[in-house]
Amino acid sequence: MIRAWQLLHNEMIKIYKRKMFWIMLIILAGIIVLLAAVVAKDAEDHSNWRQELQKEMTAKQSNDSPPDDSLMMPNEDPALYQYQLDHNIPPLYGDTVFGFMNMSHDITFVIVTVFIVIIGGSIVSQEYSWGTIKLLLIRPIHRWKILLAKFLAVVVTGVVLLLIDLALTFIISGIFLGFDMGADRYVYMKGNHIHDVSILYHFLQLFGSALVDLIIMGAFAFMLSTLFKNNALAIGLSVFLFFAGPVVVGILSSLHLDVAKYLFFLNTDLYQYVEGTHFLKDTTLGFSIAVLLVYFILFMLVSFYTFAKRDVTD
Amino acid sequence: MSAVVEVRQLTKRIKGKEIVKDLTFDIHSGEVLGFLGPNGAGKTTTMRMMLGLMSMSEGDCLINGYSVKTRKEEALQYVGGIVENPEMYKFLSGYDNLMHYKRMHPNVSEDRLHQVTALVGLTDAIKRKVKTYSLGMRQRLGIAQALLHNPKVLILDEPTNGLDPAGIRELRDYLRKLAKEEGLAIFISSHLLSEVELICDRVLILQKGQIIDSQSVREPEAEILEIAFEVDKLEEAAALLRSSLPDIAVKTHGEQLVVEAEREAIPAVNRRLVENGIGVYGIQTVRKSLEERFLEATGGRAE
Repeated sequence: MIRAWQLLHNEMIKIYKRKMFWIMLIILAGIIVLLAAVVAKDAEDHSNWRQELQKEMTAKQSNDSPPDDSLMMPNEDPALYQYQLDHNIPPLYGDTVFGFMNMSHDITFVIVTVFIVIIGGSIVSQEYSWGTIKLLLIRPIHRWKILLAKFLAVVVTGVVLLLIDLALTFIISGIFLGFDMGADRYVYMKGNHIHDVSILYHFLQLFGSALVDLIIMGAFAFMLSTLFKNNALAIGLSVFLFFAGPVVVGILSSLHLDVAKYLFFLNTDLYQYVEGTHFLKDTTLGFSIAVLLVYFILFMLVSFYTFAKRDVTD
Repeated sequence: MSAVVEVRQLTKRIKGKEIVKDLTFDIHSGEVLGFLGPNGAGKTTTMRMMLGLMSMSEGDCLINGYSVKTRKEEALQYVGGIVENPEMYKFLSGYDNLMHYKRMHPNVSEDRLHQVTALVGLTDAIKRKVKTYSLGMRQRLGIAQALLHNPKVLILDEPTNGLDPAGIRELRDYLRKLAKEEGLAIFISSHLLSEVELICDRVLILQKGQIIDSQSVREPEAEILEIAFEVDKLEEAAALLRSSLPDIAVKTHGEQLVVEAEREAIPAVNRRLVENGIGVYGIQTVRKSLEERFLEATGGRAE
């Protein structure tokens, strides 16, 4: 019997031995350098962060508009600042390494997701366009095993890209910001409660949420790729849905349609439940996971069924 | 000779239309079997079903006793294939391409990989990316991947497509050697008669999804021959043979009475004619050439 990892090995080689993968890494590194350079240009000394926080707190309490150079969210509660002052936790300034990582993940995770959609949306269809599908499928291996290896390769690549993203962000911001780590605690308000977690735990939560997002978007592109044998369609549609999600929600909620919450691409951000910032108020973490699971199984069933049944005619 | 491949009642229907109808044939080890027919006759469909690329509507194909339908993981271990142009991963080296296929077969050693590389004469170029290869080199890499896992059967769909005459000749000599020295069964399709005639021991002619003829290329004596009788009373002779020997096809061709029969039947036919008072002035056997059969099958000649 063929060991599964050998099939996975094949698929990994077909991803990382292509120029495309390296171009993706260069783009990712380039964007991080750009962000870090912009942040480093305006980097400030935060040794007097207590006074800054105190100033903002008074400004907030007196209902004045916060100072222009405020790094705080306008809607954050003064109680949070008091907690930080009491426990000696400086704010997560964007011009510290951890602060930069926390701030830049919004952008870099989106880029990584787009890359995974491109990889997942072409991993099956490119075999058709290259004509290699014929020599691939005359092997003594059931088709579902080949397809599974392909999907696992997408997931593994997703994990690898996320790790590379974190490493690059850490190293590049470290170089630009002189390895000033900043706060090692992450504090946030959820409802009326203050939550205080270690920065690593916070990053782990972001990482996990990004990974779920990647896997679902990757699975969707993967299904389209298998179904239509067309890279452009699979990638285009997935990226479109990924970015159009908030617009779709806006339209649906303005029409008072409740169906929005059942759309998978509005449930992919699980981190929103950590801080309670989910914009569909009647959804919960459990609900989103259930919705994602149903979609994921559906995507996989469609992919495996079509791939196993389809005659290779071209 | 034992049959390595047994094709039984193989049928393919697409949208109610029968592309391949009820094919039954064997391929023996050491044999090069040609698969001849015009474009669209169903050759590619048949081969793709045998290779597991297309599903079978009816029937089955057994390879080394294993059904491609139900025991694919066993059956396809014994098969190497090229389907039209062997498309390789161009961004990988020849070596990486072979490694890719090596991982998909149980028990292929690194030694075997080097062996097939040497066999197709690519040792010097194997570390180069396939995109730098010439068409002939790609074709040879295609053969290397087909032979990598020591198959008992090679299924080659139009493998000479796009090759220059020298390349075709090289491939031909090589395939014959494989069949003769390594006892491989080789099934090779073509729409060009001349090609098949030179490589094959036996030929199946396919038309509109059906085998209309199976003929040995190299052993003519066992075949049905066309025998021309020169007689005086042509119409009478034809009528006589038609009524008395219904198993034998009889037709008139110009001034000749043409009978299709085995060589052994000639004296009996002659005796029948003479006994019924028909003067026989000459008997001539014309082996029906493969070309005539092929043209007949493909409608290339109106009769």
